[in-house]
Amino acid sequence: MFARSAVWTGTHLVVFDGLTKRLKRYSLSTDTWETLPASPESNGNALGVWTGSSLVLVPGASIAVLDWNTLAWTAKASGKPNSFHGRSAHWIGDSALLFDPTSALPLLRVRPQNPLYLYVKP
Amino acid sequence: MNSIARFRPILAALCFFSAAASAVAQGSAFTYQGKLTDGGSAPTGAYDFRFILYNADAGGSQVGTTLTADDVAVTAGAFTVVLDFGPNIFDGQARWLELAVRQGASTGFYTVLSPRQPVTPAPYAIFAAKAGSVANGGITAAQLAPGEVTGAAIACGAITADKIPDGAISTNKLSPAVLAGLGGTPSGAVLMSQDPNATNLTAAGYVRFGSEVIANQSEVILFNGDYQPCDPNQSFPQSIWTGSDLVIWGSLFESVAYRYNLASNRISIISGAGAPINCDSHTTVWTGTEMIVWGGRTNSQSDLYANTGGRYRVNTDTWVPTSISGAPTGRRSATAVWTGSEMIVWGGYHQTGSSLNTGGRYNPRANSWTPVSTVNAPAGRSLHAAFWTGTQMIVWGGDALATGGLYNPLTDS
Repeated sequence: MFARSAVWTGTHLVVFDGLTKRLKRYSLSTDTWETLPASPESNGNALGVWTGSSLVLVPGASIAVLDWNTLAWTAKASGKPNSFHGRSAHWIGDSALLFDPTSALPLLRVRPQNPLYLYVKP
Repeated sequence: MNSIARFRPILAALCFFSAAASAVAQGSAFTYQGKLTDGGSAPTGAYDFRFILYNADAGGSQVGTTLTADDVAVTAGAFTVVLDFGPNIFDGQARWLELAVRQGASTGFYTVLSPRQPVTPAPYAIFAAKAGSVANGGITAAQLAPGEVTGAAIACGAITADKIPDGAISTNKLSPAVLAGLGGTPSGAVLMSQDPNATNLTAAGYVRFGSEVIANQSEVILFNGDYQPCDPNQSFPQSIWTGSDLVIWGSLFESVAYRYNLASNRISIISGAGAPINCDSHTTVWTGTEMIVWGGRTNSQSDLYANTGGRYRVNTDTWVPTSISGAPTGRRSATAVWTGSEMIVWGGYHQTGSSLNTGGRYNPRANSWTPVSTVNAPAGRSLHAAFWTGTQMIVWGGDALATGGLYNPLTDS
């Protein structure tokens, strides 16, 4: 597997190929590799950041969040402008700060958010 | 019977006695003492008495019931009776007592004594009378014993918001429905929850409807300050996050050096004095106080790869060059990690056209380099990934390789 990007979780090295949507993680303590569920979206320029509890892939058309406990993906529309092409991503505590050096507005802040559900009182 | 009665103004004294008695057992009876004269003498014997209260000294209306006392012992004119007109007769209004008397053996008419006697208050009765005429606002907190005002004594709706200090109502005084923000919500009210099965809401009468709502997850930052974007056909700078700032540096043909401060939302140009020569594909690490950049391609036309670098001090906005003594050979597309005390540079692409499996450790305190062992090192590579695990550098991938390795700087292996 040719890894186009990688992140370190503190215990694991996660490598992923945005084109093939394939991911693997390497456990430093057990010296073993494990295949992870494929990411929901194919994007060769996907950037990865580690939040402390999940892996976030940005900035394709979607934001894909891999829950580290359940290994389940949640993908939602990112709202990213089409003209923005992030070259680097940094997790800044509550969001990912993406940098596109070719844009006049080179900074994009991405907040992975859980969906909300509506409740009405009849 | 010819009888006259002179009632000495002792009623107040009698009332005084009555008040003392009532302190023992609450009641409405009081002792009445009088002195009866009959034909100018003070008689001794049994007499019948009748007592009627009026609301006027003459005429007027009777108040309460008629009391009689038969065969009252009169000794030298003095007699004592206990009268009880009931609890609500003496309500503060003026009262006059009419006495009538007849001999004890008689069953005929009473002889009414005149004038009617005004009922005057005893001293403590005066005090007590104040209870019926307490001025508005006359009862202060000092008159109330702690804990004596019960809930039953408070009228419904009497406690208004201004009686409750700000912040005084704790959450454990609120019902779960109120805590859920549902208190008093009318029909048709809509709430949002992150819980697809919010039992606290459904228990409060809400039902889920519609599809999921996703808030906008991306925000282009409209910062203050000037930024000149890079030519998309040229190489790109790199960025590091300091915890408060994004520091941007490195471009082959452009002097791109910016600093974005998140708190002030401002981009500013950082110092170029002492900065390394323009380059790209260099390595960058953040030490906690400095950004260290090293290596990279300095001229794309002739592919010159540098073994120079610089340390940018964020606090002082100044550069210090890294030593070239003992530095690894120049390269681009290498990786670097920060161990806490050293920067480890490894791999990369050499200008001769080969990937490297060499590296070096740079100590910024000593401004010196130490070579990284090549014993058992992974195959040379560039564009790979490298991370610091806390004790080791882990290297993986690069150049389409699916291999990697671990390097321990303590053992240099």
